Amino acid sequence: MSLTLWSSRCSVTFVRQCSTIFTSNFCPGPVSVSGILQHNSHSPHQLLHHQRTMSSAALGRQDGGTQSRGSTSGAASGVPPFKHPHCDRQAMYAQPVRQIRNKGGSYDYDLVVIGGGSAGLACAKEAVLNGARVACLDYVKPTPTLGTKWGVGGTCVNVGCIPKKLMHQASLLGEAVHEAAAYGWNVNEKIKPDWHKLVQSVQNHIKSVNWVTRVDLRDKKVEYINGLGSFVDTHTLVAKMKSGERTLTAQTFVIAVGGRPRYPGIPGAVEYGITSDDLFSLEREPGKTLVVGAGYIGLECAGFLKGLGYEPTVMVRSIVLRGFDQQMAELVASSMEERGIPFLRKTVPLSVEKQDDGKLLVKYQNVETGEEGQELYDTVLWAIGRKGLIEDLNLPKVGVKVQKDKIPVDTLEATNVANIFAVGDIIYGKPELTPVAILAGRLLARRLYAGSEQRMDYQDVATTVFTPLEYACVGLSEEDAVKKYGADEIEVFHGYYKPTEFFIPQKSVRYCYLKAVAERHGDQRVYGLHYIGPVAGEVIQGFAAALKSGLTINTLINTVGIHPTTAEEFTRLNITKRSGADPTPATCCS
Amino acid sequence: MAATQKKVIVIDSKSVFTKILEDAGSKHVLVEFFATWCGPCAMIGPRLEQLANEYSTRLIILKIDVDENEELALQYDVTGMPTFVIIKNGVTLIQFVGSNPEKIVSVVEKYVGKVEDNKPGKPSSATGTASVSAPAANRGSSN
Repeated sequence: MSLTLWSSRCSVTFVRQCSTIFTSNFCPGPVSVSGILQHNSHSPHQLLHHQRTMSSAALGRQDGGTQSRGSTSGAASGVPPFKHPHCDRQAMYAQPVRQIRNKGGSYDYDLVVIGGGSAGLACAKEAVLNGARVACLDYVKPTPTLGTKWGVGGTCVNVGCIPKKLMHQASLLGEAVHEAAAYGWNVNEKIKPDWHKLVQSVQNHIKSVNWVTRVDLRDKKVEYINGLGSFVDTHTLVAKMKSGERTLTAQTFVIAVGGRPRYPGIPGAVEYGITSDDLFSLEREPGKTLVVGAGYIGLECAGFLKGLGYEPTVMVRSIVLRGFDQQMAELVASSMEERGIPFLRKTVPLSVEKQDDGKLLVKYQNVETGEEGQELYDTVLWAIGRKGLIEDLNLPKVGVKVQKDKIPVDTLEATNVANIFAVGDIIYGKPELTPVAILAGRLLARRLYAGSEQRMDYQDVATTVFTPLEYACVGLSEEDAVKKYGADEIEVFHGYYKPTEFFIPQKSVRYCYLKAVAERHGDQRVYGLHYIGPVAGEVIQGFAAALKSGLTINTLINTVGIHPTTAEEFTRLNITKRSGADPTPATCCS
Repeated sequence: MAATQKKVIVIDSKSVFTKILEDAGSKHVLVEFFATWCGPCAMIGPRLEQLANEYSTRLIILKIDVDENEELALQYDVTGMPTFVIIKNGVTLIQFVGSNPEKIVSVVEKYVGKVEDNKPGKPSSATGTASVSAPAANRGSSN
């Protein structure tokens, strides 16, 4: 029984739009170019419409300065303008968009975008759409350990979201085959994954996206330069390419260089350890793997490695999923431990040594007890965080301020230097997510070249951790809500639930849990939604729009659920944490 | 052009491509723009080898990897793979996309003639194809 990835439910839009590669008789070029890279359903038309609605709202505000800004509400009369609870829109819009003469000057280009990833490409293409002359640089420095490289498209396409989701899918499919037996299928349960075939399929897909990206840039008349950019002065950049150097001048620069994985400063780290940059094209099987780091990258990698039959261990220095709701983070970790993924808590690695037989000896230490230990692994994967790529830009030459290894920007994505902007993972303190980068990049281009006023709203961005049992959330974590409003002003509705499909194969429902963090009094506006369970991203996406529209608990519980689904559990929330009642469900359907 | 095991010639540079077109004279040249990561291209590969054998005297089949030969891919405005081009005397007669064996065969038959016409002594049946007399002669078609 061969499960080919071609026919899996891929989230890549151009495949959907042009029918799957497997069933069609050709590998699609950019026939329909909208939404290729971002893997969300934003088409230029939809966003343009949204922007027009927003602009008219912005214009309306110019006379009454004190009225609260409408955000997503249209022109519906009688509806009071929505005042977003934790975002000071007045302050955000108080700073006017800088009017600079930005087109048709004497520079080589109106805009040079440094970085051909999610943010850079979206910005470059949107700028061209609005009449700018644009060049986009992209360059990938090979990984220090294995020399891994990849094509244009950035982290998400090459070594991030896309290969991650495909491998996550591969591992879930393996699980599904075993579950199928319970549903009556005569499957050979001794199925084994073929790592090389998986890697080849994943890489083939990535290469096809690289190709489409290149052609799309050509079609859109964005000049693509495969070179490493560094500043000479505020209007001049030098691009170091394989074939030599090239100097470019531009009116405006957008820095969208993104980040790369960090390596720890311990012996053997760089020589023997790999990162997510290497994992998705690894030529040998990972085998018994030590994943160092318990952020979403570490957990997701450990998760799919387990599903593919390898033995991952997760080494955690302090907490799991830093920045996320910690109750949910612990449930995710427990669900992984339940699946047989051991967690070495409060532990840091000390060194990595290669043995004669090729295995890696990792020495580590418990930071609480000081106790040392060691273990042999086939692979060591560093997932301890990502650093912004400011080092090659020569920022001091132009005086762009940095914070740690990122670039701080204002609400217009402007740096402290007037004609230099930054967008995407490189900016300080904002979610490092593809859809955020894309939207921010597009809005920036519109402000520069289409006279738009709209700023990027970084609040309430929904996200998903693709661990074997997925976790998705939007809005505030419980602890952040408590910090912001005080425990007395917060009500948390929660419950465990049992997905219908889990019964027959007797899949564990122990960690299937969700909660809504809301205002305690008044309208009971929902501040945050958290869900652990299957297809978590699909479940939360719609609720993210609801939250942005001002969802209240009243509306939520008066929404009729779709049955049988797991998403409907949000409409059935009725037990509060405060009541102390047992959140474990007794029955379904009532 | 040398008599190798595989009849389909893989192009690795623009200069090789130009030379082959020149040396083809008035023979038809079928070019396939492919990619190593393109599934449908891999599927059509064997059929092309077969065609190269069937039409060995009247048709040269070339394969061009778009990742290795960007300039050529750009020159022929290739966006999807596999893209097929039939060239004669340096002129593009037809260009189409898709790994559809029936379509490829019918296009080749339309421009080069049917497979049977290769066999010596058999009267020509395709329109515009020169009659093939002695097997040793290599006159090429007249259309």
